[in-house]
Amino acid sequence: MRKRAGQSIGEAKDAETLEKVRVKYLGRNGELTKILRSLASRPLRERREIGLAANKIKQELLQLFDQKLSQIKAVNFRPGAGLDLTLPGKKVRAGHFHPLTLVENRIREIFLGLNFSVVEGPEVETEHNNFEALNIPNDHPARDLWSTFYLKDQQPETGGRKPEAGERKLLRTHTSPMQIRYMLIHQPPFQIIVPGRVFRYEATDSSHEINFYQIEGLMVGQNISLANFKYVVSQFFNRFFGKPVPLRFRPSYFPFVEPGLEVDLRLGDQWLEIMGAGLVHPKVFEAVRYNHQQWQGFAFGLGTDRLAMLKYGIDDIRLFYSGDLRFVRQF
Amino acid sequence: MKFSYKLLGQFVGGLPKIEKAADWLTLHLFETKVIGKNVLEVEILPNRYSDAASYLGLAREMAAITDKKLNNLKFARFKKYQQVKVKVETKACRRLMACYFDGIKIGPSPRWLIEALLSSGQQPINNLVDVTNYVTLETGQPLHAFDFDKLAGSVLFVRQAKRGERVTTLENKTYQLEPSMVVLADAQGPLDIAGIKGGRRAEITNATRKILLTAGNFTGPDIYRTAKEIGLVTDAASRFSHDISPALVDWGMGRATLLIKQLCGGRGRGGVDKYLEKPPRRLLKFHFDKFEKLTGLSLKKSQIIAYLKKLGFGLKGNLVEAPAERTDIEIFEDLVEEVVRLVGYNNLPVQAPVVSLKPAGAEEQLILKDNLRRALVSFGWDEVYNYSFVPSDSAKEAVALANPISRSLALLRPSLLINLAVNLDDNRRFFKEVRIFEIGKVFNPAEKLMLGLAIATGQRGAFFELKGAVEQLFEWLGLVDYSFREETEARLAIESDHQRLGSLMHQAGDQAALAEIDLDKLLILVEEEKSFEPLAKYPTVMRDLSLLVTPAVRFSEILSLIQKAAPRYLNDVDLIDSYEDEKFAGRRGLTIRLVFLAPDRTLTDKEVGLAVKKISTALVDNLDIEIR
Repeated sequence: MRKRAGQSIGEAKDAETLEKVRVKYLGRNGELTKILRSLASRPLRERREIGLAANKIKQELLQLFDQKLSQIKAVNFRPGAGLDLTLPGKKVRAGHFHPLTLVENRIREIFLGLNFSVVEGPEVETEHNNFEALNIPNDHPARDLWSTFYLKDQQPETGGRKPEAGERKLLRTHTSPMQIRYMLIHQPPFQIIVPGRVFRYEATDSSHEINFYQIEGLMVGQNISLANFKYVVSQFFNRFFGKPVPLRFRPSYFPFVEPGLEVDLRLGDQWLEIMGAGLVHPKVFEAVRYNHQQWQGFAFGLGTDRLAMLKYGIDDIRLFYSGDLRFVRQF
Repeated sequence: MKFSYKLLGQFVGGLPKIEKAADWLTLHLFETKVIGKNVLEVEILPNRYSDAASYLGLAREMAAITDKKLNNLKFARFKKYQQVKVKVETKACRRLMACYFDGIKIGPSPRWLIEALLSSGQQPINNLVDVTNYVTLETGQPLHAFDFDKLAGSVLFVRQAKRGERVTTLENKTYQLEPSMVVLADAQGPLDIAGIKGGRRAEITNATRKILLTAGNFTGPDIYRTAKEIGLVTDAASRFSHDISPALVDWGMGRATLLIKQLCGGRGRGGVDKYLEKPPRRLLKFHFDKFEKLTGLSLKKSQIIAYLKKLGFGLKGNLVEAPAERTDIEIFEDLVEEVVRLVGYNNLPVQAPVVSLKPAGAEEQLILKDNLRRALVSFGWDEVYNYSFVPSDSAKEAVALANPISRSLALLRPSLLINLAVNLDDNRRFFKEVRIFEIGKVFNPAEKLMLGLAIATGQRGAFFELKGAVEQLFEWLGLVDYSFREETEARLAIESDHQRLGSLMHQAGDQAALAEIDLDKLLILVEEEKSFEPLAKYPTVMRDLSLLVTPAVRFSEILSLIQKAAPRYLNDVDLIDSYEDEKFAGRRGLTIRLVFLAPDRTLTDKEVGLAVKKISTALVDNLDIEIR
């Protein structure tokens, strides 16, 4: 029987035939099953002897079946004839990430790789955090660098009261107030980035929006220098663009850094402004009660939209906020 | 600010080609472009108006950057003249110098002066006015000349305006003044808006022979506020707003006195100098070791000193004295900037920071957002970003902007769904089916992070596709303990742990549906933990139940009765069909599949049969249901 079964397995050409063979020998009423079942009425010694032999055969046959089945499956996997392989593939419904999400994710990934943590902050800020704590005084033209949306004061009847100086609510004009929020509750050394939406009160055109995204960077330690800043941003841009990119560092002015500088990126035959930066101003450290003799570091702000526009060749910033799927589905 | 490069060459010798100069200025001072022939456009930074918004200032920088010598400029000496009387009655004025000139002959300006003004974008008027404007360009000090014969009384006042006072400016525009504003006035009333604009009353005309020339200094915030309030931002207002140094007065008057004599024949008799608030001397300690620690740049002490000297800083041992006009220099770090920008940021070394590694990561909220985005995109949904603003009539209660850009962007969005609904409509013009989501902040009035979902399928069933997506989303996130509650006919609330997490609603006959979920709350409720359950060893047993139900019976009630009546080994309940037929007389047919599975044995037909019977009985007894 063992021999017959083995031969039948070997000769089976398809899964169906093989299954018939299996049923014939190993099925509920199969030949081998019957033998095993009949053992119950035999004397003990015989039971053990035949039982052992029958079980051994059963294992061998099962193994043969498995082998043969795999073999048949492998053969069947070959493409059938008569199929027009040049027909179009069946459409898969795939969703799309917004390009700003993709770019922000990439930026986060690179900075995470440089040991920077990622935190976020609120979009409605106080005048204090957005300006005063960042050494941007009231009634100073420096404030004109950030055209601001203010919120209407809450009416007294709804529990509101006239805001104190610096308490006035606005839509943050940059992610820099998170420097203040973060440092007030953390101790250095640390390095963080803060992605987020910011707002400017200005006319929109292909390169200006009333809301857009920034990434703030802040690294504070005992010896964090401008040379360190240059290393971190060079690494970042090289990774972001996947090749070394020419950068230019030039003087600039932001009241919350000193020295202050700007970073330009060479694209084609022109330099593009891409980042504002500098060493954290001692007055900012004072505002968060850090000892500025002990701690120093750099801060920078990067325009996410601008980077996304460069990366994908997008010529109009307003497309990001259009909700137009003809745009989103390209990414 | 525009500068004639030719004119700049008169202040400093041996300048390079203009393109090279623009590059150097950009790398060491301010962003600079060459515009037109021989004209530089220089972006003066807000903290450098005091010293650098002038030919003299730019020349000083060019000399330091290119290592050339500054040409000496001649200034007339100030002398006192008793006939001129000035009374300063406001703290907003730190200094006022007024000098008397006679023998003035008004006429056209010489060619070079006209060209100098034109290249800076200013219109020539007559020799005297042109001299005052030119000297401002040269030194950074605004000047204003009055026709002396038109002044009433013998005293010039600098004072706060009185309520109701007006000034008519040279352009013949009249401004109503507030007591917070400062004027120059004579016995008759205000002559001009101090630091902002001259008035008509004592204007220079062709008949002018005697003048009173004033050079003042006013506190920045006062001028800034006034200029904004009356909406008049002049060159002078812009300069004073930036809080320029009162030391510039000497240079302005000194140069003007010389040039008036040269070009207008006017004799300077002298005047009065009310210098009420002298800025203190600024002596700063230079920490040479800290310099390297901050910049990463190693320079010899002598090199640092040489750079500072080039910029006109005085040195006494370790103490550095800032020139009077450099109002931006307040702390040691400002000096660091001076040295390092002259060296050039491009020339700083690049060094990897040395820090102790700390585990870096992202906040939980960010991780939740990432997970949601990944899940929804994998379900085939597209992500959109919308404005944070919505039209003024789109919501009853919302946070309003004090200064909106327009009525259509006047409120902060209280919900993501307002803009998502618009997106659905817009996109339906191009796509048959639209599935979109947005993650963003809403304000009502507190700031909250929300997830908004919107779907339009062009046929019935949008709501249940949306609901399925939300359920799958929750499953992936590990939120098990939640329930739905019908709030209205069109809206279903999502609840968990006694909180309302959000809601789903349908629109347009179930061809479109929207949902919004509070992510701040979701974040607290989701449990990332998932644990393995052994794969089933025994077969599952399935039984289908066909029911006829009246419209009032909710599926959620059926489900909860089934769960109550069922044995532990009821593994799953699925609605596999829902249909309507005329012969049902208004009732719905539902086919429910019950899946039984025990972890420890093969279930018998008998025990499953009993369980189904118990479930059927519970349904029939409690609800208006018929088993078919």
